[in-house]
Amino acid sequence: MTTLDTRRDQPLTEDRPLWERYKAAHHWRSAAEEFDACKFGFWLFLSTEVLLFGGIFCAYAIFRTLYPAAFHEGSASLDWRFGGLNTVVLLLSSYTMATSIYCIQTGKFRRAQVNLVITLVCGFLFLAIKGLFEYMPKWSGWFFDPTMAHGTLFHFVEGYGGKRPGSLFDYPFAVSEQMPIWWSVYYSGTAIHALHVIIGMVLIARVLYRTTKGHYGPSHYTMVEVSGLYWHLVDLIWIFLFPLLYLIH
Amino acid sequence: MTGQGGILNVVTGLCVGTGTGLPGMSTLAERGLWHDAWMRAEPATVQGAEADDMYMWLFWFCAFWFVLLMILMGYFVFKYRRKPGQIAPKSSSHNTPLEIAWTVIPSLFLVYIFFRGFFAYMDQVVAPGEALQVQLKAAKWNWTMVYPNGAETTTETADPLGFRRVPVFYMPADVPIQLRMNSQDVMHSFWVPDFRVKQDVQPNRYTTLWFQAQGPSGEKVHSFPADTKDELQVALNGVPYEDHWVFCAEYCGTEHSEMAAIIRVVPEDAFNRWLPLALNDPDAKPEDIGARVFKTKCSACHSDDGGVNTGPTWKDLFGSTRAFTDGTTAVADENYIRESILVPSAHIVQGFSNQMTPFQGLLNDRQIDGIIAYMKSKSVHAPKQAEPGAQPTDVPAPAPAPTPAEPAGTPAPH
Amino acid sequence: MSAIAHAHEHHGSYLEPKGGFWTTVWDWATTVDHKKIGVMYLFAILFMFFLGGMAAMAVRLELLEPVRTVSQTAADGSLVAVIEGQLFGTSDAASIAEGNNIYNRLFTLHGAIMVFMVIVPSVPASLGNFFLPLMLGAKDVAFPRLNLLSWYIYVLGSIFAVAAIILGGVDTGWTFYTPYSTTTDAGYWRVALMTMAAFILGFSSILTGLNFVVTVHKLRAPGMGWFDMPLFVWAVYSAAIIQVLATPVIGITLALLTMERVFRIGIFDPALGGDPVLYQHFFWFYSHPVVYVMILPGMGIISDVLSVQSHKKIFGYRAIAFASLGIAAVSFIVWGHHMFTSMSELASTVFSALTFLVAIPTAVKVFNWIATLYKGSIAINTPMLYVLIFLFLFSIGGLTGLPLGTLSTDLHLHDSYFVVAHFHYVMMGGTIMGLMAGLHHWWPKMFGKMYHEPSAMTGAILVFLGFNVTFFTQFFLGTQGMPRRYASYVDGFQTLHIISTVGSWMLLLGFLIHLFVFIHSLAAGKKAPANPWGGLTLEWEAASPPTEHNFDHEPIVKHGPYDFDTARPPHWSAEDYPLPDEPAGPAGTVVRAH
Repeated sequence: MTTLDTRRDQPLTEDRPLWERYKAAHHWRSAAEEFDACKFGFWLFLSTEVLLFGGIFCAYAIFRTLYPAAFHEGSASLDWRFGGLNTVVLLLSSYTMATSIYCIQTGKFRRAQVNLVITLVCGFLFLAIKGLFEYMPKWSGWFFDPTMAHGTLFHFVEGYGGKRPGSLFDYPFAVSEQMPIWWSVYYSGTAIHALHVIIGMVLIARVLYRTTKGHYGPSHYTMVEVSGLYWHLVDLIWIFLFPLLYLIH
Repeated sequence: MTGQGGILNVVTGLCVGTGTGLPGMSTLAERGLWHDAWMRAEPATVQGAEADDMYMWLFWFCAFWFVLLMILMGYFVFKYRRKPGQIAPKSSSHNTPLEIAWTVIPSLFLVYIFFRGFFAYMDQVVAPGEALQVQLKAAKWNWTMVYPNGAETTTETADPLGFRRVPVFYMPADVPIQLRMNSQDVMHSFWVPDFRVKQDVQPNRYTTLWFQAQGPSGEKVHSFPADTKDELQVALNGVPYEDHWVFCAEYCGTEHSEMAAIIRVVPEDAFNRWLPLALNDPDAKPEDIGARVFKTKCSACHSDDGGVNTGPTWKDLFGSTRAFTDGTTAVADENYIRESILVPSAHIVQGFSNQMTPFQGLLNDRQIDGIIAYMKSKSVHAPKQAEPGAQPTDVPAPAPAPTPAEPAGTPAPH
Repeated sequence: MSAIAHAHEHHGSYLEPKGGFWTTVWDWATTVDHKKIGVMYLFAILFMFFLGGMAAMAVRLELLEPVRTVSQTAADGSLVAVIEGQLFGTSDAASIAEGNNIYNRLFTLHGAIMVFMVIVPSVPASLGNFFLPLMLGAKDVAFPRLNLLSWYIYVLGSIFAVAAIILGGVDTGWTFYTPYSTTTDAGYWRVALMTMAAFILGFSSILTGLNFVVTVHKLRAPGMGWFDMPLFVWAVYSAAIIQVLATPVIGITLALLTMERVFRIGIFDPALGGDPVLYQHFFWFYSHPVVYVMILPGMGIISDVLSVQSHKKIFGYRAIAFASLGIAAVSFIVWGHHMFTSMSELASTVFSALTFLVAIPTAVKVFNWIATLYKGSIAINTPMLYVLIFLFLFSIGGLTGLPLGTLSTDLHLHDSYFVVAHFHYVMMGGTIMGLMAGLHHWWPKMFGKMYHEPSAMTGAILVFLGFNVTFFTQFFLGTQGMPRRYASYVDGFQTLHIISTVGSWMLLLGFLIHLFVFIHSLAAGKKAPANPWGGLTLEWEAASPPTEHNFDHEPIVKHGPYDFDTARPPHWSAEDYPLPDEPAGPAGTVVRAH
């Protein structure tokens, strides 16, 4: 019966872990073939993601050529230290992701789970830094202050906010007229990227959960590999976004 | 179908057939019935004729190969139809020389088509250097042509069956015209089917389109009543013309299909007579006429917002007291303005020099009245008027319109 | 066909219900069987086709008469303005705009439904899903669960679109050109709903394409090299590559468009420094390749059906295979020919030259097909009739692309009815006719039933005649100066519009006949043999309809897909198909090889 229930119908007759008893879907001749095909298919999917972001990079290139002054001024108001920190965070998470794959391949399940957890934490960190230290102040003027230096967790800086996209742009000190375009490119690029970070984290969380249940092991780790590939792409896109947005001035 | 008529209209439409079109449109002639079945009328420009030739060549080229292929196809299907109990005889499924031939030969044809189309295209889009520059503005859902002298769209017309009133753009025959176009809102596209040319009109940049329309055939002639007082009608009476539809060709919303215009081609001398008169849009308010004239003829030396310039600013001018270089003063009323335009050297305002060109013969009465109205609108000293034409009580009535040579009845300065 | 053996049935067909009504519904809702998914897609696509078709019928009905305001004397002697010739809206003076609004929404609906929900998925999602694994000798596509996900994404996208329509529709045209689509008040959030629908449908397309590419690479039966695959597979594979590479670009375009609409981010808004022509470039970068996603699978059907119905090896197999790939590749570099009137002269020149390049492999295919007919053994039935109809209509469509790709003539023809006629000839005269050919050809295999041949042929002839009457007149409308997307028109165009509308009624009648033929076939059609037409590709070895797992044993490829001169079709006897190297049958029936 070829329905979604196929996998769950397999009887757990012995005490062996799930990954050892893994059977490829009925239309594959072997699990190795299935793994091979899954990787090929996933690389194809990654190419679609590259093309998706290609559109954003294309818009960036065109508008930067048209309005270099606006792009310089806009980029100058970004804090490269937060961007750089996020870059380090993502690079670290890519490393731990790759390590977790290696651990599963070599049967070190505990260590794999730890690495996956660190990857997830890095993802959260990335989003937190972006949200609290970059988006929120620029959008509204409210700064998140974990040191509570001002007595409350948040403090407001007059005139800082208003760096919003398009017609919402309301930043009194802007010199270039086309600043809304810069901010539109910035927000659409980083927001779509952040969405992909979230998707990646969902994939990794699921992999983490299933690792604890013993679904993945040296002879079957397709989903881990594939999630790792996705995460590496997310990291790679940020590696391109970061210098183009933060470092050009 | 709503309204009266319904099915009757459909039947009428069937009977009326193609080629009726707008009165004055060129009729089917000269290029042959088959060409006219495609294009309905002769092209009205040389470049359009080139495009037509290209099209007809392509048509015959495609028709020839299509018929050939279909005959082959039909013949094979008939000749090799299946007979029960028999299978297809052995035949080759591969023939390199044939395959090369039917790849290379079409390619050569395509190269020819591309180049021929490219050269004709260059003629259609590259305007001659001496083309008359006219501005075109597109908005939802109308066209506005702004001529070099500042005249904007003129008479509107409605076709006999009540199609929306569309502007008529007069154009000189046999003169290259280049339109500089931009849109006030969304994308539009300016298409003149008779010229076989179109160009998108965009909101963020200027695009251009050029044409040189051939002279009217003489079938249609302006005929107004012989005793008409309207200057425009007098100038155009007896002048032959030819009309060409203009359609918007980029979807722009609700009334996209009603966004039409008519280009009316008249002989060049008639156009030159018409052009200065066209500043007098009979429906325009004097203030608007004045604003247009100011923009095109006066703003080089005068500002209307208090800015310093070669001549005095028009802001708060009307009704103010002027001090002249000869020691006299005067209140700037209608007569004074008129004199300043026609004989500027008569009184020079203190602080300025005598360098204004006299506009004798260059502006007509309507334009001068328009300037006065515009100045009033820019001045705090102008008496508030309930309606245009009401006479203010503290300013003497302006002298009746004299001939331009003599501003009669000028009150003595005091 | 008197002695064709029936297929052995070790297991039930895939259509057999597994239990009661709700069990069957659940089975279909959670199926990962490519055949069931293909069938579900087929019914959804046909339903959407009729929905979009109804919109077109309404559009053509409005165009029977031009809209005019006339002065009439009312009962009390006063003059009133009355609107004549308008189908939609009421007849008082304010409602030309109202009628236009309805018309504009209808043609947008027609375009959006037809492009995104019908033609792009038409062949790949229905026939492609069903037959790709069968032709390759596989049990399913590479990723069956992804296939089901694709289906549900398609359903979700269609729900978004239908919701946008029911809630009032949008009037931007299916191309959503800015700044109109980002600034029009009409349907503020409905525009976003519709663009999101297209975005979601794009995902369905990407995942299906991805699935097919991996399937072709990894799941061919033993002995089947690349050049042993049926040409339908080559065609679907080439289209799948385009789907994977091009669709993400429309994804990002629509995402940016929606952000522009909702947040006014300004990249397409000239008031904020953006560029509306940039949108056109982004849009057409996908939308041109996608027309080849539409036509390539249709051409693949023609290759297969023509060969089988002529019992003749396809002429120039490799040329057709490489032409498919070539068309896919070149399709990415010609998008500017949709924008000759909004680009610079230099860009227009480059794109025109490149556009002519894509004409060559297309023409080569047509020549190859006609050459295949030579010395064939051609059956005259509905599939073959649709092949001939395709060749006729698609040739006209392709040839009329020449004046559009030629710069000089395009200045006149762009955005006129000539373009409308051209793309209907290639999309409907091409893809839909190909789909009809494929449906009739593979119907017995899919559903195990034959259909009533004479009625189907009548439908085909009506469709052919109706199509030509409807759309050939539109070439003339275009050259004469009728712009597209017009709710009304000036005098002189009415005759042609009337003819075109009458043609649309013939078209509708033809398709309704087909609908009834299909319904009748499913309800009461004759049981179909495993190989009614005598095809040589692997799907004809399976039962009609196939079993759950397609094949009892993994098929081994012993002959090429079109080796009609050396191989006998499976399930056919020597009497029905006497090969020349065999001893003679009853007198007078043997054909000697030349």
